[in-house]
Amino acid sequence: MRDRILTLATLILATLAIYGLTQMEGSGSLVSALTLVFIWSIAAISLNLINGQLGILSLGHHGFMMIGGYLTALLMLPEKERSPFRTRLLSDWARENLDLNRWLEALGLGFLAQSTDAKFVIALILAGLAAALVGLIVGIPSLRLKGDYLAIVTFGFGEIIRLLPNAPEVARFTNGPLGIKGVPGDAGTLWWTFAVFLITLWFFSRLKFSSYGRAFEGIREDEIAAEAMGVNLAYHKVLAFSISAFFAGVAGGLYASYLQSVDTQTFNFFVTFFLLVAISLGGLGSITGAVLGTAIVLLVRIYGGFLEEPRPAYVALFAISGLMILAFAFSVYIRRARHLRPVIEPKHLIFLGTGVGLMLLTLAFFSTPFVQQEVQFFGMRKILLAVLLILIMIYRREGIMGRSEFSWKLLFGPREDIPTEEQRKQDAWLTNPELNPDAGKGNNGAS
Amino acid sequence: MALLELRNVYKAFGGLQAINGVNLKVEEGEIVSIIGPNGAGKSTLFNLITGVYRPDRGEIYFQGRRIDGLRPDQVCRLGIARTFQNLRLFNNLTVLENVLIPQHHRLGLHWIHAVLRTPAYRRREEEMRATALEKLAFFGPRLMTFRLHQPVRVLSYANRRRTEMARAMATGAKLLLLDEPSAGMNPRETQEITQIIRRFRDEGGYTVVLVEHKMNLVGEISDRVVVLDYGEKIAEGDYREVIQNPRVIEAYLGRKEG
Amino acid sequence: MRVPITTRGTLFVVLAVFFLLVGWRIQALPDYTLARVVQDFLNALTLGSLYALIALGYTMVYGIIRLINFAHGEIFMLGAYFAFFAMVLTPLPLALALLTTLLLGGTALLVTRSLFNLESPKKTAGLAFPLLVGIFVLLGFRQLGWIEALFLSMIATAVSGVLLELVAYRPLRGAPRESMLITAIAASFFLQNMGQLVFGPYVKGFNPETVLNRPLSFRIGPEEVYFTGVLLVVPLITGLLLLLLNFFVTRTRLGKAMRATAQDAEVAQMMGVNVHQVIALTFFIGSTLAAAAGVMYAIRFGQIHPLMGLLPGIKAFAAAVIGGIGSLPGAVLGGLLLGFIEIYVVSLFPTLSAYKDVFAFVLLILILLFRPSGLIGEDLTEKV
Repeated sequence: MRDRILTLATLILATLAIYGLTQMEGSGSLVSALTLVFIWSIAAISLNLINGQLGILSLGHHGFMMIGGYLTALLMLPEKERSPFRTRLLSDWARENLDLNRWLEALGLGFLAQSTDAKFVIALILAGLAAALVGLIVGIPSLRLKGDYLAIVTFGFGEIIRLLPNAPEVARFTNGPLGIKGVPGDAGTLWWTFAVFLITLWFFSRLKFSSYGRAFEGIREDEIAAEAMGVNLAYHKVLAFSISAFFAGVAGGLYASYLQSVDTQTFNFFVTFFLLVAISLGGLGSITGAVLGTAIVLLVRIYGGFLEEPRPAYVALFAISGLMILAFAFSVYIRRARHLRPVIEPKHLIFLGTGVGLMLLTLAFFSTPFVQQEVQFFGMRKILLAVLLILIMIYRREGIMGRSEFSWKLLFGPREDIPTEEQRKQDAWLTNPELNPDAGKGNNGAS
Repeated sequence: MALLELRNVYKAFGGLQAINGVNLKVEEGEIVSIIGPNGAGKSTLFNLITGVYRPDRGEIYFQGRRIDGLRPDQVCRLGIARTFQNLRLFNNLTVLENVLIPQHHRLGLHWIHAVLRTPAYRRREEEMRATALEKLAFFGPRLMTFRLHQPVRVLSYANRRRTEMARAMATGAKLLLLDEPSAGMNPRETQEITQIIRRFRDEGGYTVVLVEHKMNLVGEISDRVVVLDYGEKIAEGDYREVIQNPRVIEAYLGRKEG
Repeated sequence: MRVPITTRGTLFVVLAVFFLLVGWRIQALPDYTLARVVQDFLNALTLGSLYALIALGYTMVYGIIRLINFAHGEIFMLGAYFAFFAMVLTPLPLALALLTTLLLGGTALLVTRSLFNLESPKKTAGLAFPLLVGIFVLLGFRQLGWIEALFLSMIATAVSGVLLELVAYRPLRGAPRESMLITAIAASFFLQNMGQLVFGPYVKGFNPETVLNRPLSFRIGPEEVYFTGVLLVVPLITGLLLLLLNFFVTRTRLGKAMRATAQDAEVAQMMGVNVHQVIALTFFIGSTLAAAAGVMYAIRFGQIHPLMGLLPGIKAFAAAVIGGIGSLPGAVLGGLLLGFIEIYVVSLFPTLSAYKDVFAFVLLILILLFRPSGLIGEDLTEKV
């Protein structure tokens, strides 16, 4: 009861905050940042179902998102954007038929076509279903393969899906490298994404804490044991892939609406990589973690732009040497905390030496044009993400949350897995023969 | 009709004939021990029954239904559950979750029910929880209170063995296949396991087939003992008869020279 | 039930299908003359050899630590860039040449010291002195040709490969394979973007003046076949390197240690093999081969850019899997096969040329699904 009230209160507060934000002047960048957090969180949560809960490393998520994105874009594309002039490579058939209005009219649901929002609901569901269908197909190899081989197969599928829209035969449906422009942006707004995000959150947390969620986690922990305990591996794996792909497709549709366009570069392998960083950072298997990780990683991506601004080279040189010295300090700290000896290893001294050396060199040649020139670090944010992921894998594989979820109980409630004093005494009595001469005879307590 | 019946089962791995024409009948309510030297094919036999392997030749029947060629989960559904020689628990999940997962196949509800938490689903969830607690209660209160919510990996070895047995029981099986249930346990714990196995039959109504190396355990509880050597059944019968059998002695100790 | 597919049978079927297809299309396409068959054959052989060289690195690393080294394609890219800069920037001012020599040579020595068991100072000096002088002379006095650049690039790339292993992969020894794969993907992204940052995101021309680039031609019937020296040299160098590698792996002590580690690292360690060294050595050799492939790839196509490693990397990985990952001849076979398929698909089925990259992935998926051990690899299925 208390938990429900708290949840409700949080929801109301969040809604109010979002309302306030949309009303505020000049909050545009914050609004779009939050919108992106919601969209990518949906994708991250869905990827987390396969990678975290089912324990299968799937690298083809960008493919699912792409299918959802393209289908939504095509179905929602307004009449004036459909002209052969705008969509040169699209076939006439696709131009005429891949149109939600037309289908709604044909089914006698023309009144729905009046509302863009209603149409988006339908389009997103269709996008999700199409992605789910493909997810089902991609999931089938998981019945035969395991581990890194399976990861490569999902990667292969994702790349095939990504490469196909450019091929001339497929371009009739995707407009090839030109992409689709002029997608209505209604579903890419804060309210829309917030709503879909809440549905996703609700859906996945319900799923996780159900018998099905437990079956997924059983498969992750030990496939052979799970099968021996009656869990149908084929069904559950394909189910998880389909559900995950469905929500990825929806996220792709939302993203297409947010960008108001899609092309072949919108959903490349970096999308999956980005999501992978997010869920690894948050903690594989944790929905809370997926959201948290996405938020942090997006923060770097959106507000890390200053890293790539042009600045004098000496700033960069100092930064690099500073980072090297920091890395040294960090490794010493880690080794101390883990009681490893020697605390300072020779290879770490290389870091320190290079860092200090670089700093001294920069100071020594400070006035030379090389050090004074303007430099710009394109792609610094991606590099940062890559380094972050490597560091997570090395130092904290469980991420921020591990596998646990946020819950009110976690904040306020008693912990059930820690024995009370009474339970501890009873336990000692059960197992200690000095206290209980009957211990180990088998019938203790139960009879 | 026998509960479990193996008819002339063969299984080879490459050139190695792991199981060589084994016939076996297990009647309802029996406790049957399978013994034999290392590499005699005992675990392979379990893997054949539970569907991990498919026999090259021969048939396996359970309650008169042919089960060879079925997948492990289908075999489990029909009522055969097993434990593993070196523990295969869901290590990062709690004891309760470990005992709930084997009941999943009896849920009988579409996943939509689970997400929507329909009344039918809630009822089943309650029932599953009750069953889980009931099965854990077999082992006394030690797994029932705070340990219920502890991940299995923090438990002691003996408690993990107990959890694995509870997990097998929770599948709703009639027949339990226990692969060395007392491995790695001290004499007191072995003693307790012996009692537990007996109670499986007497109180739980299970039929038990076990692979075991500790002869005093085997002698104490077995209704029947089957001896395997090089994939063949070399003896079968009462424990006391079987250990007098010269072929069995030879299999364990080797032939006397001269 | 898994249908047993024998190695010889698979090979036979693959080759038969290939020749049947080629034969059928040749008589179906009127303008597909003998000259074009020969031309395609040369191109395919070269491309296939390049894939094979890269695939060797994948296969060696996978064989030894069961890691799909996603970053191998980027190592290949580094190889091309190092050679490019070695040619463009030389001769360096002497001070800079000295500094570079010390940095590069020093790291190379640090890395190889543990590799070649150069524990005694005398031995180390014996290697260090010629190496350092050699690098210094190369860098300091004249503009380098592609062969010297290739040599330098091989050293520098090998050092990069070992450093990658040291920094990113070694701390993860014993971690789940999925974590290692994720790290490898991250490393790949890191190197790609680092490449764009340091080398610039633009395409650079790579046309060293050598006989190899001079266009040559010969006649078959009425038509001429055009080729350059590269087309012939690449397969030769590949063959040579493969022979060397094979000799190393099967005949030398370190090679034996390597195979032992591939079989069972733990046991090898107990038998006195320094597993870390052997793994570093694997990266060393794999990166050297990748550097060679990178330079020749650059000469062949005349340009380099920071993302050039992406597709060849993935295709070479596919080649390694097709051949049977973990097997050296398998990698070469897979590389050649993929090269031939790619060239002939484009040539024989012009309408399918848009799908040539898709094709590599389809092949990869099919092979993994139906014969994960590849054409001539060992069976890697896990035991219950």
